[in-house]
Amino acid sequence: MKPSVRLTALLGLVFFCGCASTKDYREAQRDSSLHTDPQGSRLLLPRDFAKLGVVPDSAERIRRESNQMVDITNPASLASDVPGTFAGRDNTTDLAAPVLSEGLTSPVIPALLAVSVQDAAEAAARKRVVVYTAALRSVVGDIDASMARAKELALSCGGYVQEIRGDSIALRVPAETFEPTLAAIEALGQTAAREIHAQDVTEEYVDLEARLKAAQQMRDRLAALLEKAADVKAMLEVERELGRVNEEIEKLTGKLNVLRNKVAYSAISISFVRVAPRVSAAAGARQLPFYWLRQLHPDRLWD
Amino acid sequence: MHHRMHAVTTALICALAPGCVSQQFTLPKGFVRVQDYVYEVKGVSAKGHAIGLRIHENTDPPGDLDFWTQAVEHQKVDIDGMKLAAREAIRSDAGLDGTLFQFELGEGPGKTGYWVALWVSGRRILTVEAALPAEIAAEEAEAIRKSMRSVR
Repeated sequence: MKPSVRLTALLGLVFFCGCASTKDYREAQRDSSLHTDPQGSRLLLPRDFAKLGVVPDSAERIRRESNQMVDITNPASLASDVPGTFAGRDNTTDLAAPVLSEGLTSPVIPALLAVSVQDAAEAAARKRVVVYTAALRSVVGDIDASMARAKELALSCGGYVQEIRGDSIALRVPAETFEPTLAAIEALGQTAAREIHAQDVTEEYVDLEARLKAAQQMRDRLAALLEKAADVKAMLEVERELGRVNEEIEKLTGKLNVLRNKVAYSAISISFVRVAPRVSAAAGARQLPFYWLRQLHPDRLWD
Repeated sequence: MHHRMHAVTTALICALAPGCVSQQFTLPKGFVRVQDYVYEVKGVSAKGHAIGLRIHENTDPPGDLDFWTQAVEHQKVDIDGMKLAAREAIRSDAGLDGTLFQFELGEGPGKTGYWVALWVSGRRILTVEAALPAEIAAEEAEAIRKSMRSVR
């Protein structure tokens, strides 16, 4: 078979797999709380395999196992700790086998599909990726001073001010300083309301990592195919697909960076409320029958 | 003759009535005197600080300094909700013991200081009030105190 014909057939198969997998993927989404991507994907993903019963549901495994947290601020640790680095596995379940059973020999798709969800789930189960957020309502005597102090606290621990609106301020502080900073901010006044959320984004993180890895692998393979392309038509087809994959990589990278930032910097939003005047605090206090006492006020001086 | 008798009578009545007794104090440097029907003496600075003396009639029998000190604090803090930043004993240049209150109103940079010096002298209660920013230079604060102490 001519190389160009073989290349075209291969690309066609790639598209076919993408389309076929999309259906399964969406079915998997409907049935599983693990999968939350509303847009679907044309890439074959590890979770598609899980849905088809080839490997255990990674979400179940994650729920059953550990509760540690990933140090997401350290990319090096992520590469080794968090699934998405699918190197060195020996228990790969290759769903590509039935799909590619009819005479296809290209290494692209098997390599792309040979992604172990089991490894991913196990690695994820070892450590958790958690986004911490806190919302406070603090009653203070001096709002401006309290807001300035809150800002100082955030900056001093390596955080930053995300937004100031009226008497509210939104801060982002490094995750490792979340608790002490929150305690220091609470000490600024009397906390009237407090909400703290710990959102487990392990599944989302693992999913993004896996999709990114798969897309990068596909890009590498397509780049290799591009070099081997024998005619212009094949070259154009590979380049078109390469462009689509690169676009996908950029989107996934962006999402991953946003998620990493959310994990690395915990959000603390504070709504300051001025303490009620003593007149209401001293309920039951009675006026004295001396009118001039009531007239003692700076406004009378400034009249 | 009639006119003269009338003037003498008026002078005597005024001397006995607390509100008619002429009270003065020296305005701080940088203040100018302004007319005001409420205050015996009132002055303002170019920065908008204000200071004024008022005289109030004491009760019969008269309440002493302790009574009026508690009454002022109760009214301003418990009723009006002012923050009492400081309260100190003060003695006038004429040797009269009094109380100086430093109240604060509002929040942030616009926080206002409201000082009230209180003296009780028999049937008369004297108050010297000053309205100024809560944060002022030490020299300005001392000038206000000096002015308050000069009441006579």
